[in-house]
Amino acid sequence: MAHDPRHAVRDWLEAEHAGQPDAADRAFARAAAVLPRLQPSARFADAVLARLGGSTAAPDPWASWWLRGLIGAALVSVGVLVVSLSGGGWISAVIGSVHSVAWGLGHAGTAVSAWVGSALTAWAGVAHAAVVLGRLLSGPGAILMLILNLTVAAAALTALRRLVPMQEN
Amino acid sequence: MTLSDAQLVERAIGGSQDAYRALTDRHASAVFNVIARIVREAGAAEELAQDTFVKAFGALRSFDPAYKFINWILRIAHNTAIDYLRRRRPDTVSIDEETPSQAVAEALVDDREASPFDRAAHADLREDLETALAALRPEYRRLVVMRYLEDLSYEDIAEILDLPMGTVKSHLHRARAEMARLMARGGWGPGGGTSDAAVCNPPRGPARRTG
Repeated sequence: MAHDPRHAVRDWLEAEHAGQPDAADRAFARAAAVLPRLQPSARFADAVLARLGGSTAAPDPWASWWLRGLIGAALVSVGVLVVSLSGGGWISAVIGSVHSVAWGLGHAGTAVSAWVGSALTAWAGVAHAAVVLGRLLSGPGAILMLILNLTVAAAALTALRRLVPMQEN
Repeated sequence: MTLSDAQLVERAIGGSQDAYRALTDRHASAVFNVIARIVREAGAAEELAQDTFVKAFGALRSFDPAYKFINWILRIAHNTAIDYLRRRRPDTVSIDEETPSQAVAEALVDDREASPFDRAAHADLREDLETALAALRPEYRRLVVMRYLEDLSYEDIAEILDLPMGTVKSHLHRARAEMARLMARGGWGPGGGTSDAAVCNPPRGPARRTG
């Protein structure tokens, strides 16, 4: 009779009345078995998949292990093929490649050096302009305007931080 | 071989439509039940449950396999339902009105009871429990549904709702106590007609008595 929902209801109400929460929890669980577990329609999964359309997570080609293995095997076989075809000539090819890379890096270094020089010249001009601007803004009116701007910006930021969680909720 | 949720998620991210379907089939019932019990509108519940899966599958890459998938998707389902309630109206539920959840329950399939005989035998009890459950605030109702209809642990509920465990337990206690008051008022009190509640509110018939 312990599984009779009516007895379970009686046990539950008695436990609640007696202030026994654990017993009430167990008895209510038995009583609640009469409540139906609501079910969606039979075509629910079809409807979900139809709505998904292109919004599913984009397939990740790297997620499949067989594809990773295939690409790895292809790379290894190409390497083996190159070495076996060129025989001992691959050493000179490697040396030639290193030479080419070193030559390219040298030229790139020269170009970067020239660019840094011109950038520093330009920066000096900007710094001079900033000094002039700073002298202009050092008056009390400009400082007040700056403080006002910062206050407005802080208020806007605070409002935004409150709005964003509301939007997320 | 039955794949775990984490394996299905991995396959779904890999583009498997079968994995999406398997995840949907596996969790549709729980998602729908929680939403339907919170919003108490069958049509809206179906739509919101679909929304839940669409949202979840769109954000599948953000799912952390260290957590249970069912907890993750029930959290999305709960938030979706609460958003709907906020948009719809302030929750002002009267226990005197015919509760929409009764209509929902009658219209949809019940997979928890053994037979039509059981359904008929406990129809009055079910009706009163439905009414008491529907009268709860949504904040309490969701806890009762998760704990007693979905058999979730306190830990899982706390994770889904992002609440401290103590809050979950105390709210469940209050929810049960509130339902107990309503049930006693309906004549289900201890000792049947001998209880104070039964004396003040006589039962509507012999079939309503316990024991």
